[in-house]
Amino acid sequence: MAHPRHELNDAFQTPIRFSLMAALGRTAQIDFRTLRELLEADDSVLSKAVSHLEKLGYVTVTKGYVGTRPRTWVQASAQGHRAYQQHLRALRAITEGLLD
Amino acid sequence: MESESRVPSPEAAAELLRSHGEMRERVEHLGPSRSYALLTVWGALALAVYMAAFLLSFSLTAGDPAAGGGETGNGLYSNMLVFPFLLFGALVRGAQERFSIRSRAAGSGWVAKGLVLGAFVLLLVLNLFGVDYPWLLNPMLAVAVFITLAYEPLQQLSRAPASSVEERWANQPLSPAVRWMTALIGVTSAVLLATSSESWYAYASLVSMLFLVAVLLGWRAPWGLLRTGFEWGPLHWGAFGVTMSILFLMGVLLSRTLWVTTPVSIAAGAVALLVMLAASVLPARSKAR
Repeated sequence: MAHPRHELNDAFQTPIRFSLMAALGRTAQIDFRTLRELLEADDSVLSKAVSHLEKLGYVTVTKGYVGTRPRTWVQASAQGHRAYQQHLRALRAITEGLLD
Repeated sequence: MESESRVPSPEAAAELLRSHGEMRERVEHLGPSRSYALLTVWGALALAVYMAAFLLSFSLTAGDPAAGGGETGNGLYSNMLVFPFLLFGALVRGAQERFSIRSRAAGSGWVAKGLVLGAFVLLLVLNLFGVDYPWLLNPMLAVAVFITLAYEPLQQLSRAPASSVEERWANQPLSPAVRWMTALIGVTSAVLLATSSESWYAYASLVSMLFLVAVLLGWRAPWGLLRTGFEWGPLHWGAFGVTMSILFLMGVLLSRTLWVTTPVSIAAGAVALLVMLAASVLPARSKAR
């Protein structure tokens, strides 16, 4: 049986990216401002995290407008959700003391 | 050589899992809100009724047109269905912008949607080729569509009471541009309804479609459908629901019966007009600020 550390995903190794995926879950589409408040992060840090995950295909970003006011929505992709779930399973395995 | 520094200790991994759980709780506490769930249920109902009305209108042989049989199934009155439904779709997009947390269908949801869409297309094809089938399949499809789309939001509504952090979806005075758009929707609907029993209905239908094209092209404008849907509250959506219902009902009756006389069509148009005009001016702006 492979060690669970091999199932850890580098994409989720930073606290902000890990928390972002936790917030998005399977089906939620959350706007940028709400994410910023949930994660207690500033715009720049959150933007970088979203961009990084978007490049990996783990989140999708949708731009919208209401009048002239722009809004950005973020949602986990199916691939991203699966990768994040795999990361969580690895963490659970580690907590069960399967380290060498 | 692999670095072990990125591998968390069991304690650190447990802490991460705890933070995951806490974040999930925070998000679930915030939304999607009950208002968003209600909007989704409303959309499911509109689509279900639209599909059933569409099939009934186009049905060449299904059912019993013993009531008189109008221009059965020739699609002349399809505009009564298409016009409000296209408006509805654009308006709902605007309404969705209100909500900071929205829910999208998971994988299994898309499979169910694909199946009901396939069933709809099948019945439509049967209609177009004049193949007879039990008319009960039409309302059954409508129920299947509603259940497929409304199942998750209905579960959410039944699961928990409103949270303390509930996104408000109250009725607010409309901006001047949106007031005009709301009134224009009423006027166009009224013209469509009132002229439906006349020989020159086709021209009125053309005008309504031109109006639709114009508003769809300008949908992001301050007077556009996106902004209109965003500003509308439950009162305005209720008024539009009444108007849509009248249009759907008339579309089916005109396609399948001879019940719609001039007084009936004018009365239907008048009701739609009054309802939307009232919605355009309510709630009134407070003079005292």
